[in-house]
Amino acid sequence: MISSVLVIGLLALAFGALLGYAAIRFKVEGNPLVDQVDKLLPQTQCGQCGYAGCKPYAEALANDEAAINLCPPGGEETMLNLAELLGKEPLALDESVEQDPTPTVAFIREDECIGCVRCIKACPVDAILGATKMMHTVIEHECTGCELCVPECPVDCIDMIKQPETSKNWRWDLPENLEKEIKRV
Amino acid sequence: MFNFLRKLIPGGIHPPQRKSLSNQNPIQFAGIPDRLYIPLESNYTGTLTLDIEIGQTVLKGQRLAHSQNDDFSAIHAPTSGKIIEIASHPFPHPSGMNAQTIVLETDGQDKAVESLEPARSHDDLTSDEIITAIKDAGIIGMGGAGYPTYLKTKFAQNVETLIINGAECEPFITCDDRTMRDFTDEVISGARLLQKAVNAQRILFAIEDNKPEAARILAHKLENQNDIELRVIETIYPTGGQKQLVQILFGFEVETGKHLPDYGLQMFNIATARAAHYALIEHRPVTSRVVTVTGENIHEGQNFEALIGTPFNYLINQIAPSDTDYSVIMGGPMMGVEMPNSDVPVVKTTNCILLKKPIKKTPHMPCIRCGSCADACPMSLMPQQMYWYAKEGDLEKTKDHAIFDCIECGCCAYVCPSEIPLVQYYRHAKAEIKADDLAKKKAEIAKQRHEAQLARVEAEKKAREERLAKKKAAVKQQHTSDEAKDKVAANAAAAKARAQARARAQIEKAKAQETQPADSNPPVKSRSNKPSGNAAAVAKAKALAKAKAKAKAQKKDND
Ligand code: SF4
Ligand code: SF4
Repeated sequence: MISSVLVIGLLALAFGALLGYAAIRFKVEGNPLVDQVDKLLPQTQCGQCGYAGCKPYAEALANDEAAINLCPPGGEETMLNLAELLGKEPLALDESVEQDPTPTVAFIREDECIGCVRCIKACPVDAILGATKMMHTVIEHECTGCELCVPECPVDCIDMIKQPETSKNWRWDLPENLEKEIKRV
Repeated sequence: MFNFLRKLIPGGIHPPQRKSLSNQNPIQFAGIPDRLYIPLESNYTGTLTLDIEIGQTVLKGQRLAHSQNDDFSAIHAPTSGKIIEIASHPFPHPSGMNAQTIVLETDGQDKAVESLEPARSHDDLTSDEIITAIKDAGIIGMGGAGYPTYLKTKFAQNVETLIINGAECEPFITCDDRTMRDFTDEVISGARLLQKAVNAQRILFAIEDNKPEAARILAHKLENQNDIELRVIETIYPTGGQKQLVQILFGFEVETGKHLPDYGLQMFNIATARAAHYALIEHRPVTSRVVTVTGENIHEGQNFEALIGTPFNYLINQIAPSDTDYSVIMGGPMMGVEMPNSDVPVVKTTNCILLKKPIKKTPHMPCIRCGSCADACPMSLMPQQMYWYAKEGDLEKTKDHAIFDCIECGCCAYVCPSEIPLVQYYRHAKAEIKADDLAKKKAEIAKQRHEAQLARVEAEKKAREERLAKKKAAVKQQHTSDEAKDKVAANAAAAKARAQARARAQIEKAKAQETQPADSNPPVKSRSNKPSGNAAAVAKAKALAKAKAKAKAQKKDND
């Protein structure tokens, strides 16, 4: 009797120690869920979700403090992916969010630019080049299309331009008409 | 000998060949059209840099554009004439879109750039020279894939066997058949050069048994060359696929993600070999190719030697189809793609122009799960499953079913009783997956850049603060050091006196407070401080600074 109690007790201690050690030794820094959520977000860094960027929104999502349908650039797909990861019911996207999947990039009308550097400060990915009193320009392939620079410009010389479809980014469509309906008698 | 009993590849089909429609006559030079349209885009072109200007006259073989990153092929003037425009023009692409195109107005002289170097022979050439010349001549896989030959030779060194692919398995197409018959020596010479480029020990010519004439001529020419073997293989579609041909010749399967050099092999099309011959022996870059023009209602198709940039209709008019109601396909009936119109030009990968009865876009029947497609698939895939998932948009599942192993041969669609355009579903799914991957990559880059930006802002802020702090410190130091210089002693004395006075006053105050019981402040602290305050008062000289600090703290408490 006593010996079994001892053995069990010792075992419990041993495993407890092991677990305690593992908890310290293999401690995961930060919340791993945040990174998983962050991976699903489009990284536009536009802040349209109401957070200061994709990562803060991911943090809020991971802590169950935000709804999953707040990301307009990600659209329905992102929402569904988030629903799956977080085990939530899919939600309809916000009505106010207009959906246009065509990617856009910012374009500065360079002859109108006064070189105020405000847009440079607003750009979350450092995609605008320029210096004080010098004309600015956007590095097109780095621009995420977040539009954060547009309201910053005091002379309104930034346009969001739709990326045209070219033979390089063209995709095969599904066949036009899927299937003939079979009439059942 | 039992090879004939064994099934060589899984699946495969036997569609009607229709090759005799176009392989009866020798290859004809198509002539020089008034204008040539040379697109600046192809499957593997990066950004091209122009070497010419609008209005410039050029000679045949002069370089028009080259690739910046060195890996992709150059473009040369197919004949002499004047560059009149660089404009958007239809080009052979399934999207039906336009590409930036060099428009060359020909002068009919066909005057070539005079080569400064003398004609070369095989023996003076080294592997490196051959590879460089292949790159400069703008040779790409002329069987249809269009992958730069330069890269294929560069990354396949010291292979055991070089396979020269003359299978030409797709119905209707006969350009390789005719090339092997009409340009046998050039093809063999080119094969030898490619062999040298990749240091291959031997060459294996593979040709389907539906081209007996080509096989006969080749066998005759290769009689005394014992490191070249000619293998005549059974006609099954698609034996010409790279993986299928290897399986037929060597009996093993090329695994997903592996390339031929991993098995000590490399493969080139016979037309590529011919181009290598011209490039190296005659210093002639790719300026033309053999194109089959044929079709269902064409009595006499023809193989043309056509300049790159020749509009399709220039060739079509020469065979004068009686029926003008057709759709134009580039490539064969199995893998070809429909062109938006017949203005598109011949490019380096145009092996065939096929005129087909207009494809009626009728709805297809539902899948009846008969399984015929899986039986026909030469890659042993599950076309039916891939179709379901592609249709539902479940891209992950299509990937699980190895959709990227699909060679888009069209066997499955060919046998499907419901006439489902299966391959189009796969192409769609593949394109979506690729676009998704690209978006993910872009997002990853954006994330990194955003993090870098945050770090930069943070660092800048810190730097600013540090700078400010330093400045402050500097100013302060300036101050103190100035005063210190002349009144160190006086200052010290004064400070001491001041401090003493202050401390004394504090202690007095504290004492006075202690005697006031109605003080709103809890007296506990004051009391506890009292002894030290007293001690300080007693040993003023000993710990002036300490007393000062404490007294100060007390003052705070009391206020
Ligand atoms: S051949 Fe067509 S009908 Fe038969 S299983 Fe395949 S897709 Fe379905
Ligand atoms: S198109 Fe793809 S799935 Fe269909 S038979 Fe060919 S390899 Fe198989």
